[in-house]
Amino acid sequence: VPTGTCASLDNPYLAITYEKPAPGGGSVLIDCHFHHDGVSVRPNCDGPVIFLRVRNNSTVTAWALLPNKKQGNKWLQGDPGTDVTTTNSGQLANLGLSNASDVAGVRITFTQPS
Amino acid sequence: MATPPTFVADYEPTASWSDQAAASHVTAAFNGSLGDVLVGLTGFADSATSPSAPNLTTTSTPAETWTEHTATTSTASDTWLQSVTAILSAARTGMTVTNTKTGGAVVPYAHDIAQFSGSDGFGAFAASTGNGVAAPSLSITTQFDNSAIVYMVADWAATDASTRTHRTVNGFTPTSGNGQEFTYFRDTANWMVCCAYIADAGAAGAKSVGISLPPPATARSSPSRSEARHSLFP
Repeated sequence: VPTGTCASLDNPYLAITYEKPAPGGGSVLIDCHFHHDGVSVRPNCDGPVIFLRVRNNSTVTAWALLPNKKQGNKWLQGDPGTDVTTTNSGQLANLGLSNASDVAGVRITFTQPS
Repeated sequence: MATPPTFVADYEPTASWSDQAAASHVTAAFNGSLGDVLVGLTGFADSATSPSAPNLTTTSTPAETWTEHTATTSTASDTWLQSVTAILSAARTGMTVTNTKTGGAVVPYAHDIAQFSGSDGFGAFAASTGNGVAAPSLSITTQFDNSAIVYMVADWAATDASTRTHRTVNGFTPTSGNGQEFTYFRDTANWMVCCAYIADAGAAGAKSVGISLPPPATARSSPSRSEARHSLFP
């Protein structure tokens, strides 16, 4: 694990990135940038999400499973051929993704969650 | 020419790659056929030996015989990686694989299980530590023609590898897009990991697998080390 604290590693931001291949070619990428909340400590740095990108360059629908999401469905749908970036804090809050901990533990599936 | 094994799928634990709190991590359930081979890529985000040396134990339900292979050395400021293997002794439905932390520091740990069919078993294994961030590589001498090579690259410094390029072996260059890289994960506060396979390494002999990052590599923290770990089977 890198040397430093959540605060010192927040330069220019903290990030969680996850990429998985899709059936039939292409991949799904989830990239979350966030700032330290001033309270959390490593290895569980947490804080407000400032950037969330979901890129699905495959031909199939993907779902991001978010086990720690605190409101609404525990998943987000990524349609084929889409590349969506959200930086609006209000929009992220409406999605239930205000904090990095809401995104942590994300998994990608190509079968619609029930 | 021998027929190379066929990659079926990979199975990750349901826990985050950043999780360090749980005593064990369990994969989602999967199915397999008699003779399928499983290659588990396991690792710690840090090889620190306090309070104890890194150690992970792999088991499965139903039980199979899991063999641990030589791990990377426990070097300061490096990750710790190890491969484990099993061959399904019967057709399995709803199988899960558990990775239990039996030693090591309080840092994230994880595993990823790659399943292959059409394999005759395993060949060589190798591990390497401290290869540098720009181009971590691992040399291995395959023992059989037309083997697949499975490997994991991890970086203690959580270097940004979004521009990574896997080394080409026998014309195969893993990417996430072609499915031969089956996991890429980076948590800037903890570690970077990617798992991939070479579908057909060609004639038996010396091979080099790993990744390279075009300059400038975007290191976000102190100078880093990387380890690669892979296993081979015909």
